[in-house]
Amino acid sequence: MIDVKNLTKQFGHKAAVDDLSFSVEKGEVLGFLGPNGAGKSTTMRVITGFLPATAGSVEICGISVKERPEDAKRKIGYLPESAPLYDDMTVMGFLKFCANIRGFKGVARTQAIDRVIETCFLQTVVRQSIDTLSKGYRHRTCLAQALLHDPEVLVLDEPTDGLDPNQKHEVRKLISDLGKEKTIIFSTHILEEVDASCTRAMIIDQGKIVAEGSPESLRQAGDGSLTALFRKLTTSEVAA
Amino acid sequence: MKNIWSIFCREVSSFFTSPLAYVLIFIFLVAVNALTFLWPGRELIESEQAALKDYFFFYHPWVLAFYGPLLAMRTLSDEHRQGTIELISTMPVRTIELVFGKFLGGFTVLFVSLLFTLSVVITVSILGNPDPGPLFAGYLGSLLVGGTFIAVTIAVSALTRSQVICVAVSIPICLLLCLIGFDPVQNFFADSGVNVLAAFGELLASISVMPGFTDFSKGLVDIRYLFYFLSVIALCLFITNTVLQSKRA
Repeated sequence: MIDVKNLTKQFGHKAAVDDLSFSVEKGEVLGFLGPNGAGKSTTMRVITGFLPATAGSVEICGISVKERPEDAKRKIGYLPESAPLYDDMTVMGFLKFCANIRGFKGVARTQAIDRVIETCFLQTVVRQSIDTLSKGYRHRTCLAQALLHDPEVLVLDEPTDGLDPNQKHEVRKLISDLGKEKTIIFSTHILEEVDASCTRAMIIDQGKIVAEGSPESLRQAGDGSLTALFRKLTTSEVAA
Repeated sequence: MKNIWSIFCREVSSFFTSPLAYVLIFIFLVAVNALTFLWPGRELIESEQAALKDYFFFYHPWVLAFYGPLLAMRTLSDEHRQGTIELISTMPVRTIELVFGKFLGGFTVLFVSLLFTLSVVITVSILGNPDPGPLFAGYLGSLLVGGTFIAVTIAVSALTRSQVICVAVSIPICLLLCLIGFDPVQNFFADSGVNVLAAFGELLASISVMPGFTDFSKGLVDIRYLFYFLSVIALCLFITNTVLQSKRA
């Protein structure tokens, strides 16, 4: 469903992503781990078609992101890192706008919006202006737009960032549930999330994969601790 | 087409939900009316003429050189500042659809603003009998000049996330597009007696919005000038499209 081959993304002479290859199948939830600046967000931006790859290829459900970007984007629901939203709109206005862009009309549009409002627990803020929302609600509103068109592939960049423990629990549960029928890749630097939601995890550092496998196998490699493995394999920015 | 429509609607509704919009329209109308009725030596009422060319349309390019950039300053700067450019770019929307939708949004707000200036036309119609030909052509000229300035500002706004920088760069460009074709400047080059300077003056006039606008306000709709305005708008939108795409590369 997501097929990344020899992906390289350079900014100037610096390679943010360096010859990365992996694939994620339907029913899999891939946790993308790595320290800040490891290349997680850049990889996701290339997968979603926001940034063009310097080299290599990305296919979504067999569709090349480079050759047929619009078709590939129809298959993807994307939650960017900072959950950007149009602050001057209401939650409902924003979801309607996104639904229009996604090609929904009439009853189908209303149903799609109602579904994501329920899924993301937005009932109490639908008429509220986005600039008055708390961080948790902002995140969930952005997640709602990613789910509107019931995409086959979900790319979520730090979906639990800034949420309180209850909200984190709900979002992790949502990811696990959705992961049964969809292909999900989500990034995090919270290691406990790997256990909570992932079927597979990948640790990247300086744009390269340094470890990959099921959460159990990674824990074993780290002598029973994911944190130990993470610290052993990744270079911290402070140290660098 | 559907995407352009959705982006256009968002753009227009976003403009009118902001209090800044009403302040801008108010200032625009005060400026146009004050210049038309109060400019010393050129007061419309005292002229006792129903021709609007020298008293009303005369000021339009200058006012629009400020108003166009102020209208369009947030178009793409805001998308970059809020990060929503990432959201919209990962939806099935082509960059040119985004740019065109935003331009049409700004252009519509300009159209609405110009409709409010009809109060001047109504006043003159009560007092006299203005010729409808130059009136329609004059408004068409104002729309095209304003549209050109909005397109210039959108191109600048693609380069910066700061609205202040966008306005600070766009207004001088728009003023320059007026100034280089303004009669006193053109007369300076023409009267200089130096062939090179005269040719340079003609070159500047061909870039300026003024010769076209002056013809329109006289009621002369020259297809070449129409083509000039549309091609400058198209060029600016094309530059915006290229900038947005290359920014991500």
